[in-house]
Amino acid sequence: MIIAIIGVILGIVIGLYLPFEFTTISSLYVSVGILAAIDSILGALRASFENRFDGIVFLTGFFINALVAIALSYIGDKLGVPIYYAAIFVFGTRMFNNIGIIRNESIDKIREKNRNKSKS
Amino acid sequence: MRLSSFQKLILFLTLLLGIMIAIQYRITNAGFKYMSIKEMYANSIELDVQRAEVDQLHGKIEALETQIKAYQTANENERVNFENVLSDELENAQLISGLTDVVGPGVVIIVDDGTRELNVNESPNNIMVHDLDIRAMVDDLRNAGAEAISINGQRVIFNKSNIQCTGPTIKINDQIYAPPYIITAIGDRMYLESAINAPGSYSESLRNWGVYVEVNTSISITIPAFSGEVNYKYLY
Repeated sequence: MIIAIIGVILGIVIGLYLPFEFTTISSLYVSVGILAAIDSILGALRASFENRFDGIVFLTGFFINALVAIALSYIGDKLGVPIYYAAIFVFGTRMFNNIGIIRNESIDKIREKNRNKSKS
Repeated sequence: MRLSSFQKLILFLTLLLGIMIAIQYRITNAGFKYMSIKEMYANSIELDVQRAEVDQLHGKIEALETQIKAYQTANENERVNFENVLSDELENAQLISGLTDVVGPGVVIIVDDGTRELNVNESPNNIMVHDLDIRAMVDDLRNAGAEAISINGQRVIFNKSNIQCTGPTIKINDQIYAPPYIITAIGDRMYLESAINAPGSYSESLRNWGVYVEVNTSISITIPAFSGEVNYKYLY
């Protein structure tokens, strides 16, 4: 959890000083990709809380989700169908679900610790 | 600190995510906006219009500032007489509104009833000069940039002159005149002459009907002041 936050902050700092930019037109697709990436990372954190984390599933999920979201929104743009709404909707809902589960699990863990301390 | 493979993976991917977020942030806040070429075109037209308006307003500001400066120097400087500035302005206003005699280059137009033989059963109205003919010619002259116009020595000003039909004669500024009508106008001689002679002008059709129209240019024309009363009852 703490490692994830550190990683994001470090990444933002590095990204702000990178001498590299996307073109403006592609920014919509990048934003959908970012959403997918956030979703996968939250999913991985949740899986680690539930002790069923799988590195390969996570890694493939991270990249393939992002790429599929970008590809779908690109195709939708070409066809005049705003498919990226679907991506935003799905990833958004899953994000909130995952955050809720992580919250519950961590509260449970903290309570257990406190109980153990008071017992001993 | 030793990291497990899970932690390494998370750190790497969150780093990637952070970089993506930062780049996206930089793009969306760089001041650029994605727009279609059509929108761009419309915006450029809008920009031109606004710029022209700004220029016009700047011109207005300059004119008003020079006026303010004139007033200020007249107020502060003892040698400049304040009355002179105001009387200059009054003269200018009178010149524009047609209350003074004016001199300048222009044209003299003579309009007379036609002398051709009438066809059988043809109305003599066809070859007579009517008030609306005079009015149309005055409008043509105004469109060509005439700065002062008079008909038979009666100054035509923009809001007080009347050109009215009174049988075979025409009432101009409440005075009755019979043909021939002599219209004088001050302005660009070439423009005024061609406004009367040009094909498609009103005078062209008058000539076709048989009405006599003659145009002469002159280097110096005197047009008298408006002699009627200028008093308003309903304006405040």
